[in-house]
Formats: sequence, structure tokens, C-alpha cells
Amino acid sequence: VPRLLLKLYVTGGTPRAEAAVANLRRICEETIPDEYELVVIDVLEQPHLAEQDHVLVTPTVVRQLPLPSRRVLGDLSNSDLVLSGLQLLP
Amino acid sequence: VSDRAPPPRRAQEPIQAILSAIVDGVVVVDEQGCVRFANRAAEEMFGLDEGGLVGDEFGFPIVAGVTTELDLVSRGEPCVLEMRVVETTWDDRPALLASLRDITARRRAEEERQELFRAQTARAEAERALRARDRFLAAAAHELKTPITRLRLSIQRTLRRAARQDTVLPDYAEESLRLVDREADHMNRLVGQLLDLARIDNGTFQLQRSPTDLCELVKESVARCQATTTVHRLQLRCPDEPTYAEVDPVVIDQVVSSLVTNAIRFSSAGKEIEIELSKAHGPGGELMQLAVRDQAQFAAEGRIVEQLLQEDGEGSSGLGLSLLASRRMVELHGGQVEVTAADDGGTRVVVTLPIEQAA
Repeated sequence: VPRLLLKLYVTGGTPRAEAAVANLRRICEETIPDEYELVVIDVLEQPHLAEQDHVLVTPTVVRQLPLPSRRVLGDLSNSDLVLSGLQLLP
Repeated sequence: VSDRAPPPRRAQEPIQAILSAIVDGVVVVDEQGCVRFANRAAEEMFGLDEGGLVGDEFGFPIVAGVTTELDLVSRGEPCVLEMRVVETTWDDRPALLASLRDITARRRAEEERQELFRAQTARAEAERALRARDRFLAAAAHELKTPITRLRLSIQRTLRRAARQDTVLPDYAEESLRLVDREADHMNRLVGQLLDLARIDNGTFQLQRSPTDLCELVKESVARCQATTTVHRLQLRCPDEPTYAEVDPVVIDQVVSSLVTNAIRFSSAGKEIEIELSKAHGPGGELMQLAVRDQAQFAAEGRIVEQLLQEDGEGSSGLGLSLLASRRMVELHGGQVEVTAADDGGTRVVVTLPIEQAA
């Protein structure tokens, strides 16, 4: 069971979606390989999930586990900002 | 000197008033990413009622540079937001203020500009390729002319010398020399047409229009063609009185003789070729119509010929090339060329020319 469960909400078909997926994968692989599970959700394909999680804009990353949940949104290119936003820094 | 006084309870009120008046969406979140304040513009952006955002878990907004772009989650039209984030305090606690601007229209305009630019680049590329092709055609045609001319001169010299020295060439030799001469002449004309086509395409082909009696022109042209054959009969019908039109006589003569020569080339011996010049009325005024009707065996391919005429650059056979050149020349005069397969298997080529002004 992964220690960390991340959900990444994107709007499919946009350059922002591609960049977000690539950035978040890279950050996770560089810092916490084997410890995380990343679920990418396209809000165009699964709008009900976005509604359930009250996601208003993409890209939004929801740290589902560990609790309490945390979320960040916006530019995921800087790993320090993303990790501190998700409170994943040691 | 006084100690800093604790802020009054309603310290944020003036700022809220300012933020509410801003057109951009403004969302203030605390360190947990919970919304502490949102202006009306932000609520409308997300389709929420007044106060509908406060307390919501918006998330921790991250901007690595000056701005970043977000997609609005909505079931309607796609919407791109530009976000800026500043650190601030809200009710004395650290907070982040995110301002959101709808840049969908700007983005779309940019994309359209880029699309336009790409289209323009592609068109410029295509035009460059066309010019390169025209230059190549012109150069190739020009280079081919010299050896063809030498070939013809050599054959004609041989025939003349034989005649002068009273040498009787064997029939088969004289016949084949004459055939080579005819074919070289034909090749010469094709190369000329290739050159003309290239000039027409790159716009350097200039018409020298003058009032011309088309009856006279067609008569002369047909007579010259008749002189090249003894086994075909050319039947010409044309109006009795002169019919003037503003055309380039050299070019139109070339068209007429090209069409008639083609008909001769592809008709077997003994066949009749009908040429008819007549006046007609079109939507644009008075027209001259020249119909060349043959009984050529290839006539079944009439439709293919028609296709050749329609598809630019597809004139791969000699016939296609000369018809294509003729069509372009007629088009330069504002006229048109139609090819149809006749009922009895022959081909009918009809040239229509507007009569610009009678002289």
C-alpha cells in the first residue's frame, strides 16, 4: 500500500495538462519513488469526480493520503514549491 | 511613540471593498488552502452564489514565475484563466491572494494569429516551390531546344544533300528520316509549349493584342496544317464576312494549329477533320466559337483528356501538354476550352473566345 496517494486533475487536450502530468511525475520520481501512487483524472472525461472533490480549476493536485488531505493548484514545475505546498518536505 | 495597537475586528473591510470592485477574480486563501475571501468576480467565474466560496478548500495556489495558466472546470465552453499570486495577511494570519483573469479570448486570438502565420508560411512555401518548378521547366525546355534543332538541321541537310547529288535514298531510309524530322518538329513544339506554360504560370507571358480577323487567321492556319498532310482532309466552315476580335494573333494561331495538328496526329489516314468557326452569344456578350472535330481512335479516352485538362500539372502525355498550353492561352484571352467525346467515338474540342471590341 503506497504511503502517498495523489490525484491530479487536468483538462485533457490542453498543453497545461501535458505539462502538469510530466512535472508531477518527475517530482515524485525524483523525491519519493516507489512510495507514491498517482492518479490522473481528466475532468472532461470524469466531471463527476471533479464535482465530488470540489475541484474548481486545473491543474489541481489533491493529496488524498496521508490525511489530512492537502491540495495545490497552478504551476507544478518547481519541485520545492509543489512539495512544500503538499507538505511533503521532510 | 506608541505600541502597535491590535487591529480592529473589521480591519479587512476597506480592503474587501477595494477587492470587490476589481474586475478580475480575487481569492484569498489561508495556509491550509481554505478560502477566506472571494470577490464577486471570482464567485461568478466559478458559477457560485454570493459567499459560496468562503470556507471551500480551494487549494494552495502556486506560481513559479509571474503568472501561470489554469483551466476552469466547467461544463460549458473551455475557459483559460491567468493567475497571479501574492503573499499577504488576512485577519492577521499569513495568507495568499490569487487574482484570476479570463484570458480565453486573448488566447484564442493568439492561436488564430499563429494559425494565420502558419497558413501564410505554407502558402509562401508552396509559391516558392511553384517558382522553382517554373524555373526548372524553363531551364529544361531551353536546354532541350538546342539538341532538337541540331537534330532537325542534320536530317534536313542529309535529305537536301541526297536531292542535290541525285542520290536516290532507299524508300525506307527517306521515310524514316522524314518521320524523325516530323517527330523532332513535334518535340520542338512540345518544348515550346512547356516553356509557354512555365511563362504563363509565373506571369511573364505577355499577350500582344490587336484587332484580328479570326476568319482569316483560322483559314491561314488550317491551310498550313493541310499542307503537312495528304492523307487527311480538313473541312473548314467559317462565316463569310470578317470577324474581328481583340486577340494576340500569334498566340491564337498557335492554339488553332496546335488543335488541328493534334487532330491530324491522332487520326488515321483517310479520316476527315471538321473545323468550324461560328458566332455565338454568351452571358458576357458576343463570342467566337471554334470547334475542331476529329474521328481519332483515342477518342474513347476523351474523358481522360478532359481530366487532364482539369487537373493542373497532369498533362503527362503529348496531347495533354499541348491541350493544357492551348487552354491556358485561351484563358489568358478570357475564353475557355472544352473537350468532349463525340457520339461516334471522335473528339470535339471547342474554344470559346469573347469578342472584346470590333475594329
